[in-house]
Amino acid sequence: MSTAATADASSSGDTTEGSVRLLTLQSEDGEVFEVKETIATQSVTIKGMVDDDCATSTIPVCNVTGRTLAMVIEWWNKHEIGAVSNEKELKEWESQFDTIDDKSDRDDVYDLLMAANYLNIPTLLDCCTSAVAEAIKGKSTDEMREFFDIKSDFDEKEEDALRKENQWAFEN
Amino acid sequence: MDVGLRNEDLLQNILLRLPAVSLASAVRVNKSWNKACNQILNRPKLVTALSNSSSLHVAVKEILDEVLFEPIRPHFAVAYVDLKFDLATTHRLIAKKLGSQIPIITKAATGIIGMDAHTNEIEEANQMESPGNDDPNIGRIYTLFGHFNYSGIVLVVGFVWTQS
Repeated sequence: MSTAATADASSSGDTTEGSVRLLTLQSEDGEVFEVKETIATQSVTIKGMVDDDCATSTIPVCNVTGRTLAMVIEWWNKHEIGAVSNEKELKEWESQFDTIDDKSDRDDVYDLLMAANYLNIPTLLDCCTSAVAEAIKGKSTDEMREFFDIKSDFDEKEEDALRKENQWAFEN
Repeated sequence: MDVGLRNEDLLQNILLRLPAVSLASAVRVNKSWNKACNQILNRPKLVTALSNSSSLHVAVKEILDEVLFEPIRPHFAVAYVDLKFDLATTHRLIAKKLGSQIPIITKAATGIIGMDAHTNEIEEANQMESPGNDDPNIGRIYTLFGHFNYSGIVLVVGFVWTQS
């Protein structure tokens, strides 16, 4: 039985480290990362590929740069079962992602948000969406537009109607 | 940032974490934000809170903070107020925050029950006849926990429809 199993693994051409299979991920800008399958399957997208046996060659991670993918892998490593000794330590480590103080934080969180969405990583997606929500809490409409570089596409009449409808929030 | 926030699911996922006042700002940002906000409020919704603080100002602040903590657009409000508090003052304080454009009903209640805005536990305030007390407005109030001279307000805020 064990001989047969070994033969199977070697014939499939997978890279293995001990008994753990390594997956090869390639970022949009061509950077290549080798990641343990047990870690990378925190991504529901990658898990689906592994389950369907589509993860035997290099997996292209479109729309995600090498810089962001490295951050994602760091996230996976920290969230691997047994990687950190307690929940408090994990929360402390996560806190670097959940505050947006300046433009570079904003862009990092944004890149991670897109990667988390594409790769379907629920824990990272939750952290990033709540970071963005925290950042815009308490901001005025104009401040929100400025924060996201958004221009209003309402005409004057629509703006007026919306201002009236939401007047209660700005009366004091 | 703009590109990603054109993804409707992501945008909605972010906006549904906003409290009511921030949602009122977000709904005016642009058409796609407006649509996402309206999808968050796509059905009638009621939010309720109870405070049993003995200070009217503290009680009103607590219940308003609690009901406006989640995304909602106030279309009406009903406040059940302990007899110990002045109805007109309570009404004015609530209207100051929720605005003058929506119906607000402020009603004296002789017993109120609800989720405490502070502790998130269900609390009940029963007002009972108090023999020997000349002022009918200051009855002794007994609660599940045996407090005396208990006071409280329950606030219900409702959202009815979205204008599209």
